[in-house]
Amino acid sequence: MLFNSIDFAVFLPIVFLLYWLLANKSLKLQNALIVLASYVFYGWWDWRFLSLILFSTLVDYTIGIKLKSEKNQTKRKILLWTSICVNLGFLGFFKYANFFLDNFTAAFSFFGSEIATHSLDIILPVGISFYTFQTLSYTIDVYKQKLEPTNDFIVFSAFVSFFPQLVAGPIERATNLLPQFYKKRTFELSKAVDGMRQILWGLFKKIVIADSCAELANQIFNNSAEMNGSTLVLGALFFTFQIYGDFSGYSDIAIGTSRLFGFNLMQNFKFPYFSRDIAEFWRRWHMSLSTWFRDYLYIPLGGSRGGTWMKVRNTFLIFIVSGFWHGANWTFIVWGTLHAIYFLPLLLTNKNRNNLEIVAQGNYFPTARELLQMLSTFTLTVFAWIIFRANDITHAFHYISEIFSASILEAPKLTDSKEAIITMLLVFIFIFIEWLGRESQFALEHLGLKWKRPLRHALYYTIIIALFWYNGKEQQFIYFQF
Amino acid sequence: MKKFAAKILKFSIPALLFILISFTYYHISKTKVEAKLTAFSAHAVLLMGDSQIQRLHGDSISQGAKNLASSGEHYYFTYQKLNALIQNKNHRIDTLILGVSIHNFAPVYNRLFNLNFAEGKKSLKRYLYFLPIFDDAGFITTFDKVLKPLISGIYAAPDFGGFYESTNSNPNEEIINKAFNMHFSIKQEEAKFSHSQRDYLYKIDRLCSENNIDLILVSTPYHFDYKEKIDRKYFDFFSKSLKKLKHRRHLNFIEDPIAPRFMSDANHLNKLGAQKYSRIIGKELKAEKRDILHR
Repeated sequence: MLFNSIDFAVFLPIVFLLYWLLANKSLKLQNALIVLASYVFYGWWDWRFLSLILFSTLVDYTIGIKLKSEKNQTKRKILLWTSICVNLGFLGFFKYANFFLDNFTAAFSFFGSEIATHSLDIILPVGISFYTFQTLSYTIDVYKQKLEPTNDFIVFSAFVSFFPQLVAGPIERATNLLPQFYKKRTFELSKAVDGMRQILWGLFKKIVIADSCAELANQIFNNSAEMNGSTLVLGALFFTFQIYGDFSGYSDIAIGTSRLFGFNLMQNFKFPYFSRDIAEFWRRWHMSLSTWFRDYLYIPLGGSRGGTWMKVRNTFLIFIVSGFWHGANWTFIVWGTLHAIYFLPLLLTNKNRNNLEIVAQGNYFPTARELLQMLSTFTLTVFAWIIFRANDITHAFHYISEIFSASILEAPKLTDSKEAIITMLLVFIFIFIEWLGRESQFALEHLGLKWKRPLRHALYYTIIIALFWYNGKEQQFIYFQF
Repeated sequence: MKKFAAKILKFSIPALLFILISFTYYHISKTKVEAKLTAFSAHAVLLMGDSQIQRLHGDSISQGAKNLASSGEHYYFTYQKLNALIQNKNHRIDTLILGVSIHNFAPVYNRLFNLNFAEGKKSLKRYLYFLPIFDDAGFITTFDKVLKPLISGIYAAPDFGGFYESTNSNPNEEIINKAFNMHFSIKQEEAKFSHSQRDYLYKIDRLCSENNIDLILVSTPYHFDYKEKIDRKYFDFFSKSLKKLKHRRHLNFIEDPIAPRFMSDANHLNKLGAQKYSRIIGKELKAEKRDILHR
């Protein structure tokens, strides 16, 4: 079920009313309702893959319990690796089987021996990368004795399948989300209103910004061979805002929806395009994934302890794996590697934790230095997005080559320049609102709160009208494919 | 919870009011549309179809004939319009002159009948007042993507169609290419031929039979360069599609060697051309002893 669909607009109020009016007397009932609603939510897309979630839930639930009672370290390790193998095995099969098969065949033919293989006809289950990492975090934390395993199967099922964040995150940690299923949840007006506001802003990001940018970005990327350099730059910029609006919009809707049910999810995006260096960008972009890799990969590998070589090796590893997590394509691996290269100078000069505070905090305008830093970081990010969006490495190479040709000086050529101008205007308004709200959890959190009610409601209605106006360009959420 | 519900309700008042106003407006407009359709149904001869037929002079074909054709009109909408017209039990329609041509089965007609495309959304806006909202035609399959055309359709003037005249002539290559690309380019893997057009053409035929309306098919000429560009498969599809309508009179001028001065663009007659062909069609019909002039 898509957040930006009529189906969800009907589903959410029904579940919300059942949750607070019928199930509010018992925590168990509320949790059971969440599991049921989550399975309906996921099964709406393809019910067959519910078995995967259920299997993953059963495996990690059982392993969690066994890990608690097992004292033998070797057996505990075996249990942990069973969970890792099952979860990553599913992920590997559904997401990467064809990639490895194709590259294996290509490698053999490169060395002169042809082997006959056929790509497998596999459907990628939506959200598999997200819930796999979420359940893995549980088992690893239980193994490390950072977390008590749960004995309540319904609670654990609700944790794995919690519908607001099931298919595209934020990837929650068991230490944050699981205890919330044990706590009595009472309805809080301010939390619910805040949640609604965040949902509204998330929908705006997705429907108005991302989907408008997507039309133009797709048009340019799909016909890049016929476009001049300046049009390709526009294409990259449109994609930059498409992916941000799309993914952070999803996260906002997920977090807002959770708040309606009394849950607090972790922040996933913190205005990343206002970052002053790449390290800051990665502290602000898809935070639930970057911190996951930090905690479960980077630190276990030694992190920044053990000298420069280890630091560099671990940094490259984490960025490459992060790139590969996005999909089975060399473009993602190169994208990750490029970010590692961007990151390297900061790491080697120990400047990777320079910009920890919010840019221009308490001020309307950034300093010239901050502006320059933001622009240069943004440019690097846009450049990397070209590789991320390209169909393959060759496509990315041609795209970038054309940008660095004389045609960059020509005027952009678009089939519908009026639409492009309107979209650019929307993006400017969006950046402006995001800038104003950069000290909040989401841009709309405090915007207009001090205004008189009619004015504030006029702002919300403007957003709602924009949603209706732009509804229809509907595109799938990009991160569903990851 | 009560406070939350009250807040939501208070916030929703303008939206609810808007919905109420829209419904009222829709019903008032629908009554006006029905009155207009009743007036149109008093004409014995109607011309319907897309922009090709829209150029023809009704009076030159048959005194008092009413042209209700409209640019880029899928037969589904023609069918719905006709259906709405004959709802008037006292209608006097006895002849329908329907435009039918090769480009009518081109991919653009798939887009005009599909709400995933801008063309389809425009169709909804234009024809909303003629459409049954809940039907099994496969046009309105969801309300998800159509809110904007649906709302703007309520407040927009419905497309009844009507005669259109152009004084342009001698179209250049650019104009011809533009029309060709618009009709025959495949945008997003839609089918090469418009099967839905064919289905609704047959439905119009059935509707005419059931209501004793004489259906006459008319194909006006194409510019030579435009005709040359069209894949022969479309000609075959066109011929095959019309085989099932053998029982109907078909005045086919597609192969006519027409001078460019009679064309306003690739596939439309200009004022001169329209006068010429309207007279020819009128004469042909008279010659066939179809005495539609004095009915």
